[in-house]
Amino acid sequence: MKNDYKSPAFSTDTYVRPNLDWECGNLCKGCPCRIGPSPKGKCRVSFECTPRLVTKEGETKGHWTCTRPKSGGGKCENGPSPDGTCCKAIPKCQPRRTIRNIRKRVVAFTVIATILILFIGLSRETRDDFTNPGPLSTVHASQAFKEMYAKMHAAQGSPGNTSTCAACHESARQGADTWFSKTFDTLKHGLAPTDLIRKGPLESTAMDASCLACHTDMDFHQPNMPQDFACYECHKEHEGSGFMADVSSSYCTSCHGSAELMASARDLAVGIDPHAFPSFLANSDLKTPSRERPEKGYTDLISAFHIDHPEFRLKRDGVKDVNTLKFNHAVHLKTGDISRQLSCTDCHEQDGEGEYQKPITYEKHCVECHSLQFDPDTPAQGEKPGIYLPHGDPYYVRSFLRSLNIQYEEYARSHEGITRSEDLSAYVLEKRKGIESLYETGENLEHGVFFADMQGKTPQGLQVPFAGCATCHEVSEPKDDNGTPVIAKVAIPDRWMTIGKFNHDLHQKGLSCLDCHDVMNSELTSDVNLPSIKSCTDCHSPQGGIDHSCTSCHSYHNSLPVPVLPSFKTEE
Amino acid sequence: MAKKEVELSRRRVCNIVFTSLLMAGLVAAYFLVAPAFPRHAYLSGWVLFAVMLLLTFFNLRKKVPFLRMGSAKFWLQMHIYVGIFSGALFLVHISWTWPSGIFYQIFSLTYVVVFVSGFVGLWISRSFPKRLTLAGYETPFEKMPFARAKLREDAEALILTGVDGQTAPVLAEFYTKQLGIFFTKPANLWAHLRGSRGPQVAHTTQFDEVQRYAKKAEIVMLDGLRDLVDQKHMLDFQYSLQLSLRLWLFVHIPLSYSVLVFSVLHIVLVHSFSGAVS
Repeated sequence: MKNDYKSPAFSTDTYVRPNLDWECGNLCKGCPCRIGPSPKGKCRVSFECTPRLVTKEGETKGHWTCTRPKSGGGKCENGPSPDGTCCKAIPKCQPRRTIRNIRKRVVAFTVIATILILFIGLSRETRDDFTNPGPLSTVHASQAFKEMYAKMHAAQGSPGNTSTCAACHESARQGADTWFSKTFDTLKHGLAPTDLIRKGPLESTAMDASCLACHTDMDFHQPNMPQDFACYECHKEHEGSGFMADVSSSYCTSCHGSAELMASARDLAVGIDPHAFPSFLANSDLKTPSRERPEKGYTDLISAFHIDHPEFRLKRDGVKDVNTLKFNHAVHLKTGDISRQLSCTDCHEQDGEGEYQKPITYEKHCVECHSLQFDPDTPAQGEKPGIYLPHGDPYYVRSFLRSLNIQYEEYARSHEGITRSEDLSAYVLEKRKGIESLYETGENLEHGVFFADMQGKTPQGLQVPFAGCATCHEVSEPKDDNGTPVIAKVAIPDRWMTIGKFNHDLHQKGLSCLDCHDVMNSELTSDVNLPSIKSCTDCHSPQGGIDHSCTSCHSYHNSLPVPVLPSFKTEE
Repeated sequence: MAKKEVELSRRRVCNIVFTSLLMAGLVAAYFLVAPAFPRHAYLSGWVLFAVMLLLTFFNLRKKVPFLRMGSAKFWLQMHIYVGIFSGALFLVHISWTWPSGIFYQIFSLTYVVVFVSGFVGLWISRSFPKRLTLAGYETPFEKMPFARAKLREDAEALILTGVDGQTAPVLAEFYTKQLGIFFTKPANLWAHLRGSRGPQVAHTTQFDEVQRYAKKAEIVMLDGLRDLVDQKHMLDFQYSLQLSLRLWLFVHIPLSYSVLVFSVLHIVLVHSFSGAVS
């Protein structure tokens, strides 16, 4: 657009004041009046000049003289009228606001509108929605939660509103008129300038009481903590509907990664009753191996699971399985002298949630191969059971053996269809002869049943055609002459690792059991066969790409310890 | 002159580097150090509030020049770079997440509008004066009504003079229908703002059409009128850009005060609803 036109020249006589609030309405026409509007925006013009009465010497009346300045065109030709009024009347204009004044008004209007918005927003009906910093989690936003709080509130008989906000925030309960005083309280205590630069987790606050009113007993972690922490340190509310956001591992490592805090926890643990520490043993439904609390507690420094999480204690301490049941994983899983090769899932079945394995029972998992059939001539026929020893109490086993006549009679009736008394006696006699040919005496039969191993050999050198109880169990001689042999009780733990949780179902997607549990070469019952932490961190790490947060295995909230014996509970 | 420009360029580079380092340090501190300080949001909030007050003081500085509070140049520089820094501080304060509550969304949106309008204003203040100088026909904004009136008077005088003492009806009609309003008030503001020459070309076309029916003497008069129309376009260009230099403040300043008002409520809310007293 550049051209040769020069900038227009202007008379310096015309002085424009853009800082004033009003400007002459004729300015847009390029001919503003000299006097301009009043500060309140009124047009002040009347005539171009105010004529002056000049009286020369000797004159009595004098004459009116034009006083129009040179900048306004100088004295006019006609001059003032005889009555002294100027002959050049100026038409009045409608003064206009200057840009600066309009901006001032826009500022004022905006500030008023802002305050108005706040007043409307903070009115009783809209206050909660307006000040809410973000959607609550679904549970806390639910009608059920609101009703529950209203009931609790009514039961306490305290005044104030019963909105969802008031369930947690005292300020919402007491109303907006307390906000300023509470703000000043906070600035003195809790959020004072020195508090803002304080390191470490947030200590327990007054709001925790609101959380614990519903979430009872959720404030306990360990008895040797230097201080309790605020619930909202980990649980962030107002961050969207649905479930509350997962707890970040940084909250855990802010303590467990702090040498100072862990040392403090170690010191505090000294002298505390070990039973005051939480344990899975508090759950009486679970059978767990007994374990001593480590000397230094659980105060190893941890910055991240994949970096420096300690090895699992079972591996680190070389814990052995003290179960009395004799079981050889290698034999059962490899093709060998067994009727069929087993897979892991033949015995280890997942529970309903897919997290853990159901208990292994003889009736479900062992009986197929270990049928306890001591007499091969009395097999099962279709759905009709054969004569098998009862599994469980050795007293019943002995009683069963000593009532064999009755068992044979029953078998003859149900399987052979023999009903006549003479025929039954003959059948029983025949069977007894068969048994005697195998075991010679009743004592041998009884001894063989209890003490024979997988090959049918007893410690006394007796050879029987039957794998006895000692195949799987530790059997010892009776304590008195007429006593029953003693079978050591079996104790298979429901959980080996009790501090963390684990979901087998999730891990089966892409992994086989043998990827973690090295059981193909395990021949001893004492082998625990749990994986090392290394097999976890291969996946649960940034490199592996799978979640490696603390909460994927652990929970901060521990049950309050109850006085239970920390002994190993055994199967009854 | 060249020395002054070099000095200006050096100062600008220094300021940009310093502000960038400060922002990078702030962001690094947020990710590396802040997790150890659980109340860092309160700290960044107070700093942000102080920064907002400081930025608003720039306007106060302009209102009370008699108080010796540093040169206007220093305050402008400070306003620009502290304003840019406040953007990073704002992001850190909201933890890089857009808030979802009604009040907090209004508050944040207001801040963003103030921030963006500040950037737009900075761009306008830096680029428009150059465009105005390059275009020529520089006219003080307050004097534009006089210049416009002068052009209108000249144009009307030209038409009324006529040719050889006779009015030229074709030209008079052309002026009345096509140019009368054009000379009366500012026109084509948006087109000039965009740097479009469309309105000028349209007028040129109209002149060419009229010229076909004009006599020789009228053509001379038309050329004079063309000159005046061109000058009016130049004046409108100046008006459009200079008006923009003033209008962006209509967004930036009022909403700055809104941000301050919102900040006060925000401070009251976050403290009175904090866990410390709730």
